[in-house]
Amino acid sequence: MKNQIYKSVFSLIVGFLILSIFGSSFSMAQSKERTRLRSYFYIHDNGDREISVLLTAGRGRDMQNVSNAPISLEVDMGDSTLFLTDVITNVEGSANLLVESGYTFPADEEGITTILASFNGNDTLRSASTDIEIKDVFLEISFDIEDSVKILTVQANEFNSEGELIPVEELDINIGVQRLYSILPIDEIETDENGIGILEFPDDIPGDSAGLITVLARIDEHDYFGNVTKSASVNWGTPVSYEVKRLPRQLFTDEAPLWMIIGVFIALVGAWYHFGLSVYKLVKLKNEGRNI
Amino acid sequence: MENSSDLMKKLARNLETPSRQWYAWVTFLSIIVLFGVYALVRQIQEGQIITGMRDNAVWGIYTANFIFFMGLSYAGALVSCSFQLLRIQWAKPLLRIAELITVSTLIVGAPYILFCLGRLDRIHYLLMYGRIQSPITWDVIAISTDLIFCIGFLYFTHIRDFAKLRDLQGLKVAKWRKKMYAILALNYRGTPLQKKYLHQAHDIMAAIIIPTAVIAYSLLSWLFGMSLKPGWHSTIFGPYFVVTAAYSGVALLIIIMWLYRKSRKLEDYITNKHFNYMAFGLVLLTMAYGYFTFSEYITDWYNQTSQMSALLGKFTDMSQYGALQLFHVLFTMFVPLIIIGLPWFRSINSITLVSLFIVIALWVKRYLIVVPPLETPFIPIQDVRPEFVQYSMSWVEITLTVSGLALIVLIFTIASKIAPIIPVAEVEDVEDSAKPIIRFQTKGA
Repeated sequence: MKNQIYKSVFSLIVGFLILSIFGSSFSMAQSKERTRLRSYFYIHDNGDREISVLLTAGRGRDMQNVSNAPISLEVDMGDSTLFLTDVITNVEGSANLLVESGYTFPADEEGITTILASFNGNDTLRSASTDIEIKDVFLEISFDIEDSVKILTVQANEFNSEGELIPVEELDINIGVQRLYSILPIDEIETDENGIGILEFPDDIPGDSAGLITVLARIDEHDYFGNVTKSASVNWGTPVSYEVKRLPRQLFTDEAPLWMIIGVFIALVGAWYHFGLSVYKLVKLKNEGRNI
Repeated sequence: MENSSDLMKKLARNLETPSRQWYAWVTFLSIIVLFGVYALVRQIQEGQIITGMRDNAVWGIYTANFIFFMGLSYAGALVSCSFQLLRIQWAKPLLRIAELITVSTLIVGAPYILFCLGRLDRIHYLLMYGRIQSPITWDVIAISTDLIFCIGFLYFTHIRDFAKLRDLQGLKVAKWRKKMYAILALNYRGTPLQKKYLHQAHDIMAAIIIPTAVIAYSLLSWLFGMSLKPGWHSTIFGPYFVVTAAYSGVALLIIIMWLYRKSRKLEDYITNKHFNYMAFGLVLLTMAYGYFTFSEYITDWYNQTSQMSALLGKFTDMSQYGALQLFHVLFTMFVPLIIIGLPWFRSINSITLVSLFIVIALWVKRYLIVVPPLETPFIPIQDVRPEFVQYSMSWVEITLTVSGLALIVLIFTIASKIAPIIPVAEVEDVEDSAKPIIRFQTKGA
C-alpha cells in the first residue's frame, strides 16, 4: 500500500516536472512575437538602385515597425547564395541598401536578380524572410514640337541575357510635373513594341518665371522594375512671375496700418502736450511766487 | 467745521514725529514686502516652474492681480478727476484717498504682468521690437503714460497743502521735512494768479486723465477680447472692464474712508453723508455691473461652441469653479442691492462690510476671467502632462500677492504721514473751486 502511495507521489512529481519544463518552453515560444518582412525596389532618377526591406512585428493588425534590427541581404544564385551585406533597420523599421548605378547584380538568363532578405529573430521576435525579384530598366525622356504641338516621348529599355539593351513593350508609365509639395499627374502612357511611349503635352501647365518645368516619368510597383523615376526639365510651362509683392500695411504685417500709427501718434501727442501744458502752468506758478 | 488753519493744525498732528506703533506697523509691512522680494528673486533664479503657470494656463493670479489693481487705479483716477472737474463739493475730503488709491495700485499692479514673463531679461525687446498693432504694446504705452499723469496729478493736488505745511507754525517735524515742504510747495503763496495757474493745471490734468484711464483699461480688456478663446472673445469687454473697475474702486474707497475715519478720528470730515452718497453710487454700479455680467453670460450661453459649453459647465460645477462663481454673483449682484439698497440694513459699518466683500468678489471675478478659459482652449495641447493642464497657485504667487497688498498699505501709511489724508486746501477752497470749468455763453446774454 505504502509503495503504491510512493509510486503515485513519484509519478505526480515527475509528471509535474515534465509539464513544467515543456510548458515553459511552449510559453517562451508563444511569447515571441510574429514578424514580417516586406521588400521594395526603387530606381532613382540618377540610376542608383535602392532595396528597401521593412520589418514589422506584432499580432493581427497591430503590427509595429521594428527598429535597430539586422537584416541580411543575399543574392539567390540558384543552388547557392551571394552574401551582399547586413543592414540595420532605421527608426521606421526600414533597412535600405543603396546600390550605385555602375554596379551589376548577378542575374539569371532573363536578366532578373532575386534578392533574399532575412531576419534571424531574437529573444522576443521570431525570424522572418522574404525575396524580391529585380531588374534594371532605363528610361529616357525627350521633347519635340511638331506643328506647335508639344510631344513628349519616353523610351524604355532593359538588358537582355546577352547584355544588350532592348526595348520594353507594354510598360505603363505615369507622366507628371513636379510641383512644390507633390507631383501633378498629367497622363499615363504605354510603350509600344519599340519601347516608346508618346504623349501630347498640355500647354497650360504653370512653370517658373522662364516657363521651366520638371517632367517626371514614373513606373509604379512593377513586378521587376519596382518603382522607377526619371525626370527632365523643359521650358514648356506657362511663365509665372513669383516676385514677392510687398503686402499692404495690415494687422499682420511688419508695418502697421497708417491710420493706426496716425491715431496713436495723435493720442500720445495730445495727451503729452496737455501734460506739458500743466507743467508749464506750474513753472509759471513757481516764478510768480518768486516775485512775492 | 473749523477754519482752515484749525483744520490743518488738527490734521498736522498726525504728520508729526511718528509713534512706536507707527514704526512697528511700517516694519511689519516692510517684512511682508521683503518676503515678496524674496519670492520674486526665487522665481527669477529658478524660473516659472516654481509658479503654477504651465503650458495650458500660462497666466494665473499674477494676471488676475494685474487686472484687479489696474482696475482699482483707473477707478481712483476716474473718481478723483470727475469730482475735480465737476466741482462736487461734498466729495472734497475724499479726493486724496481716491488719488492715493490710483497711484498706489498703479505702482503695485503694473509689475504683476512682468512677473508672468519667462524671460524678464528680454523686457527691453518690447520697446525695441514692439509692434504697434499689438494690444500689449498699447497697454505698455497706456500704463506708463497713465502712471506718470497720475503721479503728476497727485502732486498737483498736494501743492497747496505743502504750502500750508511750510507756513504752519509749531509743526513738529524734522528740518529736512520742512525743507521738503518748501521745495514741493513751489513758492505757492495763494495769490490770485497762482490760484488761477494751479486750477488750470488741475483741470487740464483731470481732463486728460479721465480719457487716458478709460482708454488704458479698455486696452487692458482688449488683451482678452482680441484673443480667440472661449470666455475672452467678447465685444463688451471694454465697457464691462471699465464698469468693473469703477465698481471695485468705489468699494475700496469706502473701505479706506472707513479705516481713516476710525483710525484718525475724522468723523467730522468723512461723514454719514459721504458714506450714503458713495453707497448710492455703489448701488448704481451694482446694477450696471449686473447688467454687463448678465449680457456676457447670456450671449455666451446662447452661442455655445463645445468649448464654451465646457467653460460654462465649469462655472456651474461646484467641484470646479461653481463655488467661486456663486460667491462672485452673490456678493457683486445680490447682497449689495439688499444690504445697501434697502434702508433697514444700511449703516456705515454694513456699507463698508459689503464693500469689502465686493472687492474680494471682484478679485475672484478677475481670477475667473483669466484661469478657467485658459484651461479650456479651443485646440488643447496634445500629449501634455495632466498636471500642466490645470492651474494651481504656488507659494511664490501667493507671497507676491500678499506682499503687493502690504505695499499698497505701506504706501498709504507713508503718504498719509507726509501730507494730511484730507486735502485741507481743497476743503477750505469751496468758493473758488465752485466756478465752472466751462462757461457757455448764449448770444445776446
